Amino acid sequence: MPGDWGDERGERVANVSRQPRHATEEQRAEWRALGREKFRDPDHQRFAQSHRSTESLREAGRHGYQATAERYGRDFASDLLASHRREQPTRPEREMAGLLKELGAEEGRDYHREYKVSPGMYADFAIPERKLAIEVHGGAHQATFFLERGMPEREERRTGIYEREGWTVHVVTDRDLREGRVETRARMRDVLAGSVASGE
Amino acid sequence: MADTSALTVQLIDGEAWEWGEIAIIGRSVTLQEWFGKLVEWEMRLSLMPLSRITGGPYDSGHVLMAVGDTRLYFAVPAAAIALLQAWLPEGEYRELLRRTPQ
Repeated sequence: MPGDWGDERGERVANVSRQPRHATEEQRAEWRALGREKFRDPDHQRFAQSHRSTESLREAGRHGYQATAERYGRDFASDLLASHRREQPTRPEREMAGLLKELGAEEGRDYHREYKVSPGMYADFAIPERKLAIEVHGGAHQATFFLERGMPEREERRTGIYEREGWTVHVVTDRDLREGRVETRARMRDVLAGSVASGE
Repeated sequence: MADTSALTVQLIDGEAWEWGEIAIIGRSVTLQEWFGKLVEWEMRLSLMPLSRITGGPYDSGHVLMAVGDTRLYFAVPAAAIALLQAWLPEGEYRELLRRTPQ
C-alpha cells in the first residue's frame, strides 16, 4: 500500500526547474583542463550543485528513501533514482540511444535522458526546448507474468501528465526497434528535425 | 542454516517507488522462481542509490531493480539479502550489506 508519510516538501507541486545536470564529454574535458579553476565556472557550479557529494549519496543509501526525502525533499530522492536509471538503461533504451547517435544526436546536447517533466515523472528521452519526449516501451510480457492488471492505466496516467505539462510524446516500442528499425529511424530523423509534431 | 524456501519477493509499482511509495501490484514469488525468471528474461539486478524499506512486511528489506528489456522493481526481505551475492556486482552487494541493519 502507498506510504502516507509525505510532508510539505514532498508535494507533487514541487518546482521541476532543477534538473540533475548532465555534462557533455567536451565540457568535462574543459573542466579537467581548468583544474581547480573549474570551481569558478558558473556552468560547473550548476552541474556540481545538482549532484550531491559521494558521502551524501552513501548516507542517502543507508537511510533509505523515506529518510532522504524527509531531509532533502522528495524531488531530490526521486532525482537520485532517475540518475540511476540513466546509468542502467534497458536494452530498448540502449538501442534508441544508438539509433539517435546514428542520426547525429548527442546526449546532453541534442537530447536528455531521464528528464524531469513533473515531480516524480521523467521522460525516457527528452528535447526540453521543444517539450518533446520519446518514451521507449520495453517488453511487457515480463511484467504481465506478475501483474493481475495491465499496464494501460499507468500509461494513461503518464500521458495525462504529459498533456497537462504541454509536452508532445512519441512512443517507440521494443518491437518498433527490433522489427521496424528502418521506419523508426526515419521517424526519429523527422522528430529530431522538427518536422513531426506528434505521434504514437 | 535457516530455511529460505519460504522467502518470497514482491513486484511493486515502479512508478510509485520512484516517488517513494511501496505499492504492491502483483503476486509474490519464491526466490527460486524469481531467480529462474531473471535468467529466462535475461535481466540483471541493480542496487539503486535508495533501496532500504522501512516499515511494513518488508521492513529492513530493500527494493532492487531488475533491468533487461524493461525495468521491474522488487521488494526483497532482509532475510534474502545473503542469497543475492551471485546476483549483484561485488561492489553493489557490499553496499547492500552495509545498508542492511544487522
